[in-house]
Amino acid sequence: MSAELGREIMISGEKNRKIIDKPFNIAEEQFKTLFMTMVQGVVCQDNEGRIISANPAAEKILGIPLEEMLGLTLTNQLWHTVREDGTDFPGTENPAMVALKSREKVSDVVMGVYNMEEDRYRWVQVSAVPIFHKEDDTPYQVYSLIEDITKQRELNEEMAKKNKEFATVTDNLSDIIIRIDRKYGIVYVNKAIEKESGEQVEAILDQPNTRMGIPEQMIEKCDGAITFVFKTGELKIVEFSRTVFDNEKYYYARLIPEPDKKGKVQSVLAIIRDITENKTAEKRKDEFMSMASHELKTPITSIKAYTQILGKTLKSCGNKEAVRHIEKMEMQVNKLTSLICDLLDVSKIQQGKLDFKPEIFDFDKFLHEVIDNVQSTVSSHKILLDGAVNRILTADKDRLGQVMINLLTNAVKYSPKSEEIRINTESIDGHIQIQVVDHGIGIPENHRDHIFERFYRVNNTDGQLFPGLGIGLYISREIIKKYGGDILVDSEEGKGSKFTVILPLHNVI
Amino acid sequence: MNKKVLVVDDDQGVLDVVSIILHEGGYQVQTSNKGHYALELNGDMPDLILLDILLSGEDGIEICKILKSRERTKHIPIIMFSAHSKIDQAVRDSGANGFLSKPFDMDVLLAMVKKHLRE
Repeated sequence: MSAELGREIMISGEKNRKIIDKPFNIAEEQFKTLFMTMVQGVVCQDNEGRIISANPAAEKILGIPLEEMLGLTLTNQLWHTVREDGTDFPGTENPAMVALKSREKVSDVVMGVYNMEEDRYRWVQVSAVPIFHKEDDTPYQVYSLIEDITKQRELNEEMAKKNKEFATVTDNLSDIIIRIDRKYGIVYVNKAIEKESGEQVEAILDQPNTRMGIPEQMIEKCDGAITFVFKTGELKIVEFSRTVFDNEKYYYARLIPEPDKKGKVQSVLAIIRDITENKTAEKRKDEFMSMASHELKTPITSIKAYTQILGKTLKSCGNKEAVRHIEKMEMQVNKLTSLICDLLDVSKIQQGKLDFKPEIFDFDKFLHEVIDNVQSTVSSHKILLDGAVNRILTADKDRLGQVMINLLTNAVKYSPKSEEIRINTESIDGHIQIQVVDHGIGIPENHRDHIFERFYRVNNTDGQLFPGLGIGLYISREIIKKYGGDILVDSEEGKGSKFTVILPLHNVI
Repeated sequence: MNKKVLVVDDDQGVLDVVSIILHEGGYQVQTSNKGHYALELNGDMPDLILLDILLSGEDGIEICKILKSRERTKHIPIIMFSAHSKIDQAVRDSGANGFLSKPFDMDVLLAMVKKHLRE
C-alpha cells in the first residue's frame, strides 16, 4: 500500500517540479541560494493546500524528501501534528490553511510535527503568508516559514526541570538561603525563611530592594560581614544569635560572594543554619564536664589527704618500704588530678572561660623549676636546657607551666627509645622562643595539621596508640594563643619532633 | 587553749579527713555539712572558718559575704576551698581571706590555717 502510494507521489512530484521550476528560473540566483541554504524551512502550497515546493531545510524538519511531499496536503497523516498541550493539531487548522482561508498572514504558531525519519516530534514555529495575483483577492499560493525550535524547547524544558529540581532541594532545606544584591535588597529567598519570620516567600520577593520579611536582628548581625564580602570578594562565616520570644536562638551563616565575569561581586548568597540545638547540647555537655570534674575532685581530695596522713604515720614508724609505696600512690593521685583539671580546662576553653591569673616572675628561673619538676618524675630521659631569655614576665605562671609540662611529658612519652630531651630558649625579635626537641617516633605528615585539635589522637603507621586524652596540645595552644603567640610543630617520622612555642614579649611584660 | 576551726563542706569524706589533719595540727575542730550553720553561730565563735564554695543547695560565696558583713563574725578569717582550681572574681569579691583548691596538700592546708590565725 505504502509502496504504491510512494510511486504515485513520485510521479506527481515529477510533474509538479516542472511547474514550480519556472519561478526559480526567473528569480535571482542569490535568492535561490538563500532558499536552498537557509536554516528555516519554507513550504509553498497551492490554493488547495497541496505542496508544490519546499526547501532542503523543510525536508529535514519534516523528515520527508521533497519528491514524497509534493502534491500532498497537510491533512496527510504522514506528518501528524500536535499542539503544545499534546492534543491533535488538525491539518485544516494548519497556519497555511488558515492563511488561505482568512487571506491574512498567520504568525508564530507553535506545533509538534512528527518526523518519520527520526521517529519523533520536532517542535516548530510556523508563520504562513498568502500570495495573491494582482487585483485578485483570493490567494493562489501560500508560503509557510517553519522555524525548528526543538533544541530551544528542549533547553527550556531542561532548564525548567533543573529549576524545579533546584526548588525542590532549596524549598525543603532547613537552612535559610538568601541572595542579597548590591543594593542590599533581597533577590532570592527559600521557603525556610517562612518558619523564621512568618512571612511568605512570595510576599518577600514582591518587594525587591527591601529587606521586608527578614528578621531584623538577623540582618543587623550579618550586615558588617555582607559589606566585607562585597568589598573583598572573600567568603565570610559569621555566628550570631537573636532573641525569639525570650529564647536565644543561635545561627551559623556562610556568606558567599557571587562575582560577575569581571570579578566584581554582584550578589552575596547567605546560607544560614539554625544551630540552637547544637549550642544547647554543647552547653549542656560543658556544664556536665564542669560538674563531673568537680564531683571527681571531691573524693580525690579525701584520697590525697589520707595518703599524706598515712605517709606521715608510716614515716614516723620508720617503714621505708611502705613510705615509698605511699609516695608512688600520691604521685598517681596527682596524675589523676591533673587529668581531671585538663578535662575541666577543655570545657572552660569551649565556654570561653579559661581563667588566667597573672603574676610577675623570672622566666629562666621558672623554666628551671618546671624542668626540675618534670625531671623528678622521669628517670628514662635526661632533660637538657640550652640558652636563657633574661626576662621578668607578667603572665599566668601556672598556665605557662602547664604548657611546658605538657610539651615535656609528650616528648618523653613519644620517644621511648631515646634518652634525651632538649630545650632551647632564646629571646628574638620581640618574642620569647622555646623549643622542645625529642628524637622519638615523630608525627606522620597527615596528622601534623590535626594534633592541636581537641580530642585528636595519632595512630602511627604501625597502629601503635599511646595513652592519653588528646587534649594536652589543644589546651597548650589555647593558652599560648591567649598571649597572642602560637605553637608550631616540625617533625619527621622515625626521627623525632620539634615543638616551638612563640610568645610575643609585649603581651607578657 | 587550742584554737578552734569550723569546717563547712557538704562532703562527709572531706570533713572527716580535714578534721584529722587539723586535729593532728593541734586544733579544735567543729564540722558542718550545711552552710547556714556558719550563719547561726552563737556565743562560742570559731577562730577560723574553712568554707567550701559549692555546697548542696547553698552558695559558699554568699555565706562568706554575709559573715564578712556581720559585726559578730567579720573578724573571723575565712579560707574558701573549691574543686575549681582558680579563683574567679566572685571569690575575690566575697571578702574571703584565703583560697585553697581541691585536692590540696595537707602541709599547705596547715600552713595556711596557721598564717591566718597569725600563729
